[in-house]
Amino acid sequence: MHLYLIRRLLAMLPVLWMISIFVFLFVHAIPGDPARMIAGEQATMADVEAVRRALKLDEPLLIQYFTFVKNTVTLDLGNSLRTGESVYDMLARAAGPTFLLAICALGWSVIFGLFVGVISAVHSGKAADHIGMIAAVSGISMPNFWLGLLLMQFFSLKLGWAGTSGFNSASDLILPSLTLGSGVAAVMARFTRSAVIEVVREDYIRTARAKGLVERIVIWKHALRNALIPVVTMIGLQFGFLIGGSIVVERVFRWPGLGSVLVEAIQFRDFAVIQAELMLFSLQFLLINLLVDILYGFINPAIRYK
Amino acid sequence: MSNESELGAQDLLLNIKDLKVSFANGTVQAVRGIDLNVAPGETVAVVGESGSGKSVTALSLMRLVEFGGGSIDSGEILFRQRNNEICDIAALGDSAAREMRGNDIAMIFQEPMTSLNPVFRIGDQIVEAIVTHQKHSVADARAIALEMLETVRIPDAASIMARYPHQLSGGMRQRVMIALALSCRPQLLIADEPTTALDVTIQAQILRLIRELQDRTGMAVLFITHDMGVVAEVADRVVVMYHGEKVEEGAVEDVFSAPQHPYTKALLTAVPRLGAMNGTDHPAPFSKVSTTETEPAESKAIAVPVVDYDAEPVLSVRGLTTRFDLPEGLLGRVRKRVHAVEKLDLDIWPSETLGIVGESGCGKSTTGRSLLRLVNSHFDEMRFDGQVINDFDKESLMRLRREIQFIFQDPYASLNPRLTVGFSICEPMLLHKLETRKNAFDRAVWLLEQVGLSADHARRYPHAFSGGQRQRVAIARALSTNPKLIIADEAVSALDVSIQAQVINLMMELQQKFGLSYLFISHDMAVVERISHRVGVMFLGQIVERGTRRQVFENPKHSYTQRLMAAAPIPDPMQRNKDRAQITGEIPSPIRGINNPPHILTYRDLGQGHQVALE
Amino acid sequence: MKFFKSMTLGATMALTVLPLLATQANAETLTITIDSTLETLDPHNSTANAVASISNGVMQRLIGFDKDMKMVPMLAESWTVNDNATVFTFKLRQGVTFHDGTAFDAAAAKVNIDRLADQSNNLKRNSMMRVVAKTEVVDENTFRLTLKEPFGAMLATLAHPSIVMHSPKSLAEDGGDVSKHPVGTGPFVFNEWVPGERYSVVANPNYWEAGLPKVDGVNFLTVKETATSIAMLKADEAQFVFPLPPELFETVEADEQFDILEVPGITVRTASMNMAMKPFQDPRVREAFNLAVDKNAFIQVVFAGHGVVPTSPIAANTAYYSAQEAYPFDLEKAKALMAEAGYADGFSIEAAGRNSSDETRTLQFLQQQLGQINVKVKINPMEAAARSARFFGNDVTGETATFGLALGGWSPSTGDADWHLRPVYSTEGIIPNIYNMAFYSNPKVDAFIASGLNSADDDVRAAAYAGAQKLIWEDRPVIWLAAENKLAGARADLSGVFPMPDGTFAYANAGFE
Repeated sequence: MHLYLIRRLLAMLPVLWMISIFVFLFVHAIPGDPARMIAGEQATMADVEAVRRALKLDEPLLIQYFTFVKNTVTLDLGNSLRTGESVYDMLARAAGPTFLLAICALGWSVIFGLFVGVISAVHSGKAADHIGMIAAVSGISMPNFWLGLLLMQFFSLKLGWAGTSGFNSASDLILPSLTLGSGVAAVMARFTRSAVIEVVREDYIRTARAKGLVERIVIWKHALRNALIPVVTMIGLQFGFLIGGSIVVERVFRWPGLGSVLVEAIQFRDFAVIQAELMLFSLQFLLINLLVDILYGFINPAIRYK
Repeated sequence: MSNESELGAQDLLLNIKDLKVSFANGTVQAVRGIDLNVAPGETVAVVGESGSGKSVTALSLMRLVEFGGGSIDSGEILFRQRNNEICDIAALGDSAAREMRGNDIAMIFQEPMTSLNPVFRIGDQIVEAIVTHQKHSVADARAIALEMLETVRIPDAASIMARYPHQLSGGMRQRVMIALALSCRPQLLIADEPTTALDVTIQAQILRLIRELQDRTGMAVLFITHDMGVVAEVADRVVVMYHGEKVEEGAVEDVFSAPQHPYTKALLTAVPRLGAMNGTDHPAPFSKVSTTETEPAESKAIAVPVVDYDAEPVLSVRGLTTRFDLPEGLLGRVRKRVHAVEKLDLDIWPSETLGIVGESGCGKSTTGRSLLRLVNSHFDEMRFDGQVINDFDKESLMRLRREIQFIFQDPYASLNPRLTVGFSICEPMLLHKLETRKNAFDRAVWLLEQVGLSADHARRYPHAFSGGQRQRVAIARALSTNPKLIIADEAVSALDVSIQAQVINLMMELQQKFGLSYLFISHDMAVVERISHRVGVMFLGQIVERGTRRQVFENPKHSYTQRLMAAAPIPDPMQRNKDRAQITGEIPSPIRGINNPPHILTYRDLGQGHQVALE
Repeated sequence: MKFFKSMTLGATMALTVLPLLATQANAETLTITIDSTLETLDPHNSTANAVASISNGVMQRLIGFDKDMKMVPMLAESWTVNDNATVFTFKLRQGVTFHDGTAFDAAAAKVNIDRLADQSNNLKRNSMMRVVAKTEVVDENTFRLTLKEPFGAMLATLAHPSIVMHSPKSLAEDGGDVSKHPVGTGPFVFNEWVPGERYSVVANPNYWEAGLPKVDGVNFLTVKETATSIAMLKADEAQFVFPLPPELFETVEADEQFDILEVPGITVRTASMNMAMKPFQDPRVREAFNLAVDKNAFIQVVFAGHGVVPTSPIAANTAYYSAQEAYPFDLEKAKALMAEAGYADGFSIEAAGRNSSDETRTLQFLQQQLGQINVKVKINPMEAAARSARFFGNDVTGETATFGLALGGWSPSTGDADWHLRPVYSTEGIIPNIYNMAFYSNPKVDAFIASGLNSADDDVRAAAYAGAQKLIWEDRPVIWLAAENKLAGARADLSGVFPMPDGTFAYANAGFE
């Protein structure tokens, strides 16, 4: 297991290096000049050039790439072109709220999705199934933006149960994570449903029933544990999706997270921040993949890693 | 109460009266009024082919049929419980039915590979069954589970408790299933095709185990099977089912010696019997018997091809070796590899059938795949149709894949469900640019007619065909490129015996018509005996004995060949108690350390091509 | 009956709402939402309206603006200017101290202006003080500024929201970082800044102006989503929302608990016609374009009616505005002019702008309107930085610029005609240098603009800019679309916080009634 982990982690290094090249090329290929954006709309060309020199954007690309790699490796990450603030500090400040939000959203949506999915699968073709799946389809098709404002309108303004936005206390997590998780819950429900329907047809479920087990145990223990195997892969994918989806939710709920930082960095072509954040997302994606694979091993004894 | 008096009077354990079961809201009648009795300690075999309703009957007894979308429409299933009370299983409430399942009646299934939950430990799965029905602590239940595993003769049972199903072989899993079924000491064990998916040697072990356990516990067994060989081995009484109805019932000796119903007769005729070919040199088709009284027996004689052994072999291979590396560790270093095929020599003559028999994992399927380079393999020499093939460039590989075709065990998996079978048959011709689109379709129709189907089948999709028809389609597709050699990998193993006989007859007919050669790979000794001119017995990647069919089957010299033949069930209840040599234990593994290559066998020549590996 | 019903309803509402308002009135902290994040807290180094806005309660200028952008004394009580606008002398207010206790005096003013004048500091507002030649402390309360060349707009420039007075101590090398911790003389003292999220200030107990500050503190929250800021206003999580997008105007206006604050803006929205392209070299075509667009309809469509039709290249409340005759919507004449110019069948052009909702709508509107004179408009709403590269990239020239129409909106943040006419209409301003996206060049206009800068005399300057405005108006290098109003939403009992015509807002006098 340790060996496996070490091998997997080592294998990430070349991948990250490739990603660094892509990220750098991508960031520099998109049209837009950070000096111009940072200098502002009313700046004269002289102002823009002053900014360019001050930010060392006049250096050759190769030097800029090496600076980027050096900064990434040393975790220094450089400074934001726009604010001059340490990128490390910016990301460190924003990562917490974003991951917390993503985990909360994932938490409820997975539990809820599994529950609805199993219920729908068990009552496949009946009313409970139809209700569950209609809810799921609405969940998938409802834009986060719209749902977020709707929840805010209802819970914050109509009922006054929660603050509209911002992150000052744990209860502030509720509305944004509800919003963010709705799509995932729907996907999980649909996916779990089909996984369970598939698994319930398996021979070992017949065996479980032939043992005389109560249906509750047959479904929630025997079927669900097996249905989880594909579902876990889905959870991994969805986590990446959540981080992406949080951009909208962060905007609506004034959430001080990575999404807002990235959007603003892109808007101002703040290369240092975009690059660092894209690397962070890539690393996170690789780690989640690894985590999913390890989880897989726990759920599916046929794939235990040595 | 009348129920009680009836059961009591007859001293029966189970009495099924006019059971009717249907599916899809009554639109499909699966069981059309069955009467069936089982006495305590008795073994009753229910025989029939797929769709005959035998499994549905078994599932109805367990009240499991509802979970598959079926429903018991009418009839009674009277069962004597441990406390001697009689209940009607068909009328039990859901929870009472559940309490009965696994406790009074237990069941084992056809697929040991998939019948155990892959994510739970063996021990836990048995313990779960025990604590569900009996007031035992988990610790006590574990002790019982361990005892049950020992009872079914699982070696090192204590460590097996902590294993997961995928770590066990099929035979071991079926033993676990039996231990699971017996863990609550049921009065009736329903065994639904429990050995069909197993190798003959393992099958023999399992059948013997069930018999012994039955002797020890006095439980009754309802044995569901399509295999008359198995019936002859185990049953006291036989019930023959056909299209959801019971067509014959009787003591096992009577049914085998004097079958009454035409279907029973046909079934018995279609059973490949090992040794049925004794005294003959050539393969022979099954004689055809109609399955119903109205249907006339097919009379068309099938000529058996004669092989000219003076001619050049169509395929000649020397030193075929296929190994799979098993990388491990941080750097993926190879320390072990699977020696699937080792230094194998093969010759197949035109119009000849070479049978390869052996147990799972012996390398027989890999041999077939290696010939078409579907897996990476090594040859010392390969000649095909008079040409030496030493490098597999794209062109010669294309030619090889045109001239050699495959038929697999599962035709459904090898036909694209989204293409019409006509198109599936056309595909190889178009791929190899043998025909234009229009001509290809005409030829597809012609081929379908050759395999006993009709032109209008060409426009249908695979799901509209039965298993036998699909295998015919697969054969038609294999023929589409006019191949010289067809590799049939367990091509008839999944088919019902009567269908199996028809397909084998068809293959022989086509062999005669087109001058085909077959490499016939199978685990079924009797089938191989029927169809082969020559036979190779394979064990751990090497041939241990080869020769003409007659040499190998009538005069087996290698001990492995002998054990294999002894293990094959004999469809004759009179021979049941003959003490035969048993292969005990597991099939050995072809995985070896990298520095420990297998010993290459040397052969003793017994003359006329009969070679036996030195032991 | 109906009357009775509405009375009870009103009474119930009052009963439920009044205690709420009462308790809130005691809460002496004001929360304001702004629509962007702050990149720094040093106005000297920022071009952002948000930074100027949040700073004006903390740091003050020598000269301030009143709500109509008229210059008023602030830290300078009075000033004198020589005739050719090169020497400016300021009498400074006495008894003013910075938050760190340092006294505000001529030396402090010198430190700040020197910082801005030193171009090597690479501050974003350095260019505003580029003309400064010399700064002098005449006496403790007299500060003198000498320029390299005449610059008539100097007073307005000093009134610019970014030309604030930092505490000299905070600017000293060991004094701290004014970009993170500004120290000024204003009614509020810097309290906390969480970048990207919030900024807060607290009351300055030692403030020099009697009666101020009236609230204990002010919080500024960045809210990118306008719907969220409205929700916060309604939930009383914020009491002032700026800017208020015109499409949400009605939801706030409908509620008596809230007021709409609206001032005419000094931003003039234009669609520059690329005069490097042949069709636009014909003045008849440019006139036709101005006649073919219905500006009143435009203001309805894009600003929900909250704006005025421009009557000069600069907005009415910009200094030295001189009214011209508005171009009517006259399709027949426009068609006639096009035909006269040989374009009866029109031509095809690309119109480029931002992909923001207002500019996208502007592009669509123009496409529809110009279609009426057979001009096929391909609209190209661009992401901000991509647009910026397209308009202001270093390699942009009249020959390479492929857009026919470029959307723009210029706001002269000094409130002075010079900083509108020069960047947008002078030869000097041609992109990529500043903002002249029409590639418009008229030496007479350039001359007027130059002469306006050569004097500090109001009459002289007014005459120069009137001349320039008249010429530009006749040359029509752009389609003048609108000068939109600046809107803010506020709780009804809030006073002293208001939007300014330049797109900033002022909060120094904030108080609850």
